[in-house]
Amino acid sequence: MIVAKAKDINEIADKLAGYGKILVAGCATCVAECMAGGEKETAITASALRMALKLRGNQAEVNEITAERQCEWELIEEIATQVNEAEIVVSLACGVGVACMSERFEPKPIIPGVNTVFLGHREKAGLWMERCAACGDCTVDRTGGICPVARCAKSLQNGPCGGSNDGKCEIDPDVDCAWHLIIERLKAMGKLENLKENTPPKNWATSRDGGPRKVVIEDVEE
Amino acid sequence: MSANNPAPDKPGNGLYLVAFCCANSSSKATELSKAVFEVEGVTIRLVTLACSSKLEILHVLRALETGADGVGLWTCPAKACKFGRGSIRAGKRIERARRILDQIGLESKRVFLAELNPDDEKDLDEALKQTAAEMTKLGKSPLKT
Repeated sequence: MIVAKAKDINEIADKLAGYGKILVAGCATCVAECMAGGEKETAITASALRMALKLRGNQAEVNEITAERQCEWELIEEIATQVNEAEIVVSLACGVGVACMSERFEPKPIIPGVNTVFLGHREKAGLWMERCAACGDCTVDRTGGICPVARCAKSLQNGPCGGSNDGKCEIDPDVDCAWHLIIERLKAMGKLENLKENTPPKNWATSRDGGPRKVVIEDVEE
Repeated sequence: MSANNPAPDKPGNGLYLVAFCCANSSSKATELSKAVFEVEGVTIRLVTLACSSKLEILHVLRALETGADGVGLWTCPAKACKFGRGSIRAGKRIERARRILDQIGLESKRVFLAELNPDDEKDLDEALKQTAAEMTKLGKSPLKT
């Protein structure tokens, strides 16, 4: 899922100067799962913003609503009335949600209330970890399901580097060395021979380096 | 402190504290749940929780937003929590609420956190008296002015 993190309330409040009717819009999918922008966080953000604005002498009305998803046109439509009534929207969805809302409600300002940080999963209660970098050319079959692009600090295709120490990365002793994990996983799978062949340099054109990407499925496309 | 000597339901112009208390930390708190009373000139609304970890950050924020000058949470000692990690979790939630208040410029010291000794009936009285004194020093919430 997409993992996001709450922004500082003051950073959001700074962008609301001059607006009288504000809507805080949550998203009940990924950002709810990572506890950054679901219904509960939307209520917290709205309450904190009401207080922050009042302390600044701004008597703006701050309302709140949570969409099932802000990245689906049909589901955005369900909150259209509330969005149309607002002068500005603080979206607690990921960057995709903010982009879709901005496109749907142009020219209304839709500003982000969270920082979208990575694609990952909930490792345990209160802890989310990055697991995929959406590079567009998945090769984790070779590395036992562990992504060296997302989990190696250098995104090495042939590792580990000399900075691996007791299974930890040189950037931080709390960070696992992805290549140490890969080797241990392949040993457990009996597939260590996967690493005998050198992997050629990765073609990053399928990643962000190739510009904005799109996926088309012709038989579904309208 | 007595439920027989209640303060008006709405605090009016005086100082107002919303006091959350774990039901397991004080039988007196359970007895006074939802009561509104005065301690040292501070109106206190006591809300008993099944465990202090039932407190949500939103409870703290909404109380301050809607007229409380302070919010307190009284928990069991961490090692005595009936549910294991309830007091620890509640403490961390209070820390997060305080961080949000610091961000917006509302004094986070308006949020009180302390442990009660479940074996000492007078502990709650003392805690509320002490908090009322601290509230008096802090004065009204800037949100009310």
